[in-house]
Amino acid sequence: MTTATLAKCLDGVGLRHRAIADNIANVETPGFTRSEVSFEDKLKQAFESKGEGSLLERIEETSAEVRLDASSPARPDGNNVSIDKEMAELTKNTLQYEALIQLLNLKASMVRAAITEGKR
Amino acid sequence: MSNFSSIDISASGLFAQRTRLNAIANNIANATTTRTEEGGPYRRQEVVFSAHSGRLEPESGGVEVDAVIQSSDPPKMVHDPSHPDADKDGRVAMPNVNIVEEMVDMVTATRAYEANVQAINAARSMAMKALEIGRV
Repeated sequence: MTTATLAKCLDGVGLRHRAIADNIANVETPGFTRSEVSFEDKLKQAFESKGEGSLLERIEETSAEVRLDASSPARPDGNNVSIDKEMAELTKNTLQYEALIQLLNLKASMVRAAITEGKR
Repeated sequence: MSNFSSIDISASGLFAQRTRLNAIANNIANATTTRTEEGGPYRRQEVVFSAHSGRLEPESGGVEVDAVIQSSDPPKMVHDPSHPDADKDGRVAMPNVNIVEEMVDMVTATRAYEANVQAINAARSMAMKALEIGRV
């Protein structure tokens, strides 16, 4: 369960990195609308909703979605990418990815401990 | 794989900004060129970007250089009767390049280039971190 959730989060964060890279690459493209990725809400819903399928199945069914963000204010050339915002998001996203890897390693070391401690 | 395709996206940004820098360098180098193959003074080059189509689908995205166009602004007329290309009133048609504008564009292009490099570095550190999964 933990591993499945972490894997979904890694997928989402990886996709978000792509969206941020796309926004940064198009910082000077006239009429460009920035995109963003959301997956946390769906994952939260999977945890909260009761009923059809096991929790694991509900987690597996969620997927990250890319959507256009037209709400950010646009510049006179119709482009609404703010380079400062994207760089901040990039830093946050990288840290989040590293934190997820740490958690995954922690989980792995717990499993490993359970295997090796039993041997003694 | 999404982690590598984000590097491709940033690479398209690097290419676009480099193309723009080339055009700017060309404009600065030809700021006083009065003779060209097509006749008349040099005309300022402008690079037009467009977003890659199908952005919301997986494995796509990035920026493309749509065209390098010549500015249609009128040439600057300078009074210099000793110039070999001066007309009978002593006026010379100089390129429509504004050096100050080019320098500002150059700063913008450099910063945008650096931002793309940062995005590649971030993708790289994420990929390196992913290699550590399970290695405790």
